[in-house]
Amino acid sequence: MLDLILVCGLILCLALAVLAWIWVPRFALSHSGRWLVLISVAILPVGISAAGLTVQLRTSSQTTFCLSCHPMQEYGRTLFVDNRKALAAVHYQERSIERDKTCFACHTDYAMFGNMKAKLNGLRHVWVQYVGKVPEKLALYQPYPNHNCLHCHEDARGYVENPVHKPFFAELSANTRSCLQCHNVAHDKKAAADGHFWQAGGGQ
Amino acid sequence: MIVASALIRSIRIGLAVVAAGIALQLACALFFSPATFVISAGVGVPLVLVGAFIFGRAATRVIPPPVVESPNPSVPHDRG
Repeated sequence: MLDLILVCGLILCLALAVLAWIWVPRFALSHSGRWLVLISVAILPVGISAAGLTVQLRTSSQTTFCLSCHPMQEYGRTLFVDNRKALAAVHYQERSIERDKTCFACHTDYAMFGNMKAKLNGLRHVWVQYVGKVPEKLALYQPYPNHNCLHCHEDARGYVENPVHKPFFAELSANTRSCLQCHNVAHDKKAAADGHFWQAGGGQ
Repeated sequence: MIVASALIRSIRIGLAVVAAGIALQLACALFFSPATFVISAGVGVPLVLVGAFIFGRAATRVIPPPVVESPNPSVPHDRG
């Protein structure tokens, strides 16, 4: 719906700009005419562009956007594997994260400028996808930070009351011990390649 | 100060740049993908801003009043 409004707004701006271009000699020299041109040249297009950028930034956080690049599609398939220890699959299948933002929920930093950093990394992905060479083995730019997990799990009952976690609370909070030392399967690509997928209602 | 024809030309340049930016954003919105998102944000939006700036700079300049020519060049028209 927002996309449709954006497209309509852009068409309106374009039409106004073309009309203003034709009628500039009539309008430009009068005070009210200048206001009309100001609206068609400056206020409306800048406002629509800002709104469009906001909508597109939000769209760029969606799962379908991430998976529209070919190298990401095998990671997308890992969301459906039948492996309760695979982090991506269990988060997706248990609906622990918003399905529209499955990738972004874990692959953004929950810190100041975290979203901006994620978008800049995304820019590098786009460059590699269209201009550079996609590496054979994909890897994170930095070790996965615990605070991305703790952002949701830190005060979750399942995490706080789990006796296995208790001895390591301080280390996990200080990021000196990685959550992934134990939870070491993020994306089960092998199961995805073998076609071991979970289907809702399959066990009934 | 700026003469009227120069003002119109500046406004038209601003309008053309804005229209190019809007058209680019429109095309990118219709064929949305990671690449078109980058083009829209990196080229389309700056074009609109540049066009608006060109217009703003021209519009804030003062246009001088039209010069009234005297019927007799030897007699200045502003002396009674």
